[in-house]
Amino acid sequence: MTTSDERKDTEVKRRVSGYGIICFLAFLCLLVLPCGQSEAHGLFQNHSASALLMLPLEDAQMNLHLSELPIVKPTDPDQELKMILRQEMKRIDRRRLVVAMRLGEKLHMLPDAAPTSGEGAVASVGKRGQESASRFEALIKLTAASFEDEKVIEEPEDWDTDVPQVAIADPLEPINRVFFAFNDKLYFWVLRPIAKGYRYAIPEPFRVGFRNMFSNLAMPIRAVNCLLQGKFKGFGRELLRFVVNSTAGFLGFGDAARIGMHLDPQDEDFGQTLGVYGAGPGIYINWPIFGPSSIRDTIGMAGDFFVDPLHYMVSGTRETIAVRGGDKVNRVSLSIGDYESLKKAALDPYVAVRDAYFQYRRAKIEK
Amino acid sequence: MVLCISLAVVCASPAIAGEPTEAIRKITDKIISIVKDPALQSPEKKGEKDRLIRAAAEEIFDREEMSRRTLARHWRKRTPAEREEFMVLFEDLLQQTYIDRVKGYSGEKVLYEGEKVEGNYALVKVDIMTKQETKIPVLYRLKKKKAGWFVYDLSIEGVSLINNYRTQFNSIIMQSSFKGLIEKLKEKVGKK
Repeated sequence: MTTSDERKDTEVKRRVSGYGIICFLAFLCLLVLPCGQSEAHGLFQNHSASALLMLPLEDAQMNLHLSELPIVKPTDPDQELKMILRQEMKRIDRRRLVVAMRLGEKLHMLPDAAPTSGEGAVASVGKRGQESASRFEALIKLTAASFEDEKVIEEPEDWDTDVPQVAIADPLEPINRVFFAFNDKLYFWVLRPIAKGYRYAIPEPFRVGFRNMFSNLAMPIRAVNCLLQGKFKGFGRELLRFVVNSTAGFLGFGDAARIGMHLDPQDEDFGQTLGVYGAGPGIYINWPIFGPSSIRDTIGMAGDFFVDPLHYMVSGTRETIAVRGGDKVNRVSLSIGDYESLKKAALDPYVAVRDAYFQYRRAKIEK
Repeated sequence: MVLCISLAVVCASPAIAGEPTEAIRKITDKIISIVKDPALQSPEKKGEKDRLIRAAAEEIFDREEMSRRTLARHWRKRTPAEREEFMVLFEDLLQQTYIDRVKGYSGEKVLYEGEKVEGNYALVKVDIMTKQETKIPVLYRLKKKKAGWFVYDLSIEGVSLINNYRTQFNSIIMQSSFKGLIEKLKEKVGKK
C-alpha cells in the first residue's frame, strides 16, 4: 500500500468517524435528552405523544399560564390520562410540546396537518379521529407560527418583578469582557477595513451571490436539524431549495427557490435543536474570534461542524482559514454599520450584545 | 400559486387592517416621506430633518410606558422628579438611535403581516425587505390610550428593545446606582 493510499484510507476513516459522531449526537438528543430530564420523563415514556390530542385546547392554553389545578379523584381512565397530562403540561414547556406534537403527527398517520385538511381528515379517521384532527389543527395553529404564539399582553410578572430578571447566566463575565474587547478591536482594526476595501472592489450583487453560495452549501446543517426537530416540511423545503438553487440558481449564486417559489430558508442549527429538546443555554461564553455563544450553542457549533460540507471539501489549515475568512469578510461587507449602530445605541455594549444574543437565540428556538 | 395568494393577501391587507396597523402605517409613511424628501437632503437642512423625524416619532411612541417598563422594578422606588429626569434622557437616547436608524433608509419595503388585539393591547407584525432581499421581522407592541394607539416596545428579529435596555440599565444600577445610570445616560446623549 502506498503512502497516498494510506492517506486516503485515514481520510475515509476520518469522515466515517465524523458521521459516526453525528449519528451519536442525533441519538443523544432524540433519546437521552428528553428522558434524562425528569419532567419530560413521563411524557415520553408512559404516554404516547398522541395522547396529547385528547386534551381540550382551552385546557392546554390555560395550563401554560395558570398555576394550580384542583386535585380531583380520577373516575375513568380517560380522566386519569387527562389529569396526568395536565400536570405534565404544567411542567413541560411549550417548545417540547411542539416536538411531541410533530412526532404525534407522524405516529398517528394523520393526513397533512395543515389548517385546510380538516374535511379530508374527518372522513378517513372517524369520530375519534375527527376530534383529534380538529384539536390537532388548533394546536398546530397555536404553535406553528411564532406570531400566533406571541402573547399580546405581557404580564407584569414577565418584566416587573423583584426576582432577578430573565437573562443568561454570566459567571465568566470578567474574561468574557476581555474577549469582547478583543473582538471589538479585531472588528474595527482588521475585519472592517478589509471588508470595506472588498466592498469597494466587488459590486453588491456579486457579494449577495457569494453569500447565497455559501449558505446553499450549508444546506445539510439546516436539513439535518430540521429532521432532528421533527420539522419534516422544513426538511423537504431545504432539499427542494438545494436542488432548485444549485441548478436554476447557478450553484447557489441566486436564490431562485425564494424568488420563484417563495421557499424561505429554514434557519436551523444544532444549538437550536438542543434548545427545542429542552436544553437551556447554560452560561454565556464570548469566544475570541467566534463571538457570542453559550454552552449549548458551542456544543451546537461543534455538532454542525461535522455536517458542514465545507469541512469535507476543504482540507488543510491554510485553505480552511482562507475559505472561512473569505465567507466572513463577504458577510461583513454586507452588514457594515450594524455593529456600529448597536454599539452607539448601548450604554453598556457588552451587556447589550449579551442580551441581544440571548433574546435572538430564544426567539429562534421558539420558531 | 403561492405567489398569487400572498400577493392577494398583501393587496387586501390595507382594507382589513385594524387601528393599530393603521397607526403604525401612518407614521411609517410619514417618516419615509421625510427621509426621502428632496427638499431636506442638503447638509444645512439636517437639523430640520431631525426635528421632523423626532416630531413624527413622538406621535406614536409612549415614552412613559417605555420608561416604566425599562426601569421595571427600579421605577417604583423613584420620585416623580427622578422619573421625569429619566424619561427625558431615555427619550433622547431612543430618538437618537431611531433617527440614526431611519436615516439609513434606502428604499426598503415595509410589509404589514398582521395584527393581534386583546383589549387595550395590540401586536403589529411587520417585515422589512432589505435591498439584499433579506427579510427582517419587526414586532410592535402597542397600548391603547385615550388619544389612540401608542407603541411601547418593538422587537427586531426577536430582540426586544425594551428588554435589551432593561438588562443594561439593571446591570448598571446594580453595579453603581440610579445616579450612576443617569450620569451615563447624560454622557450618551451629550447633555454633560
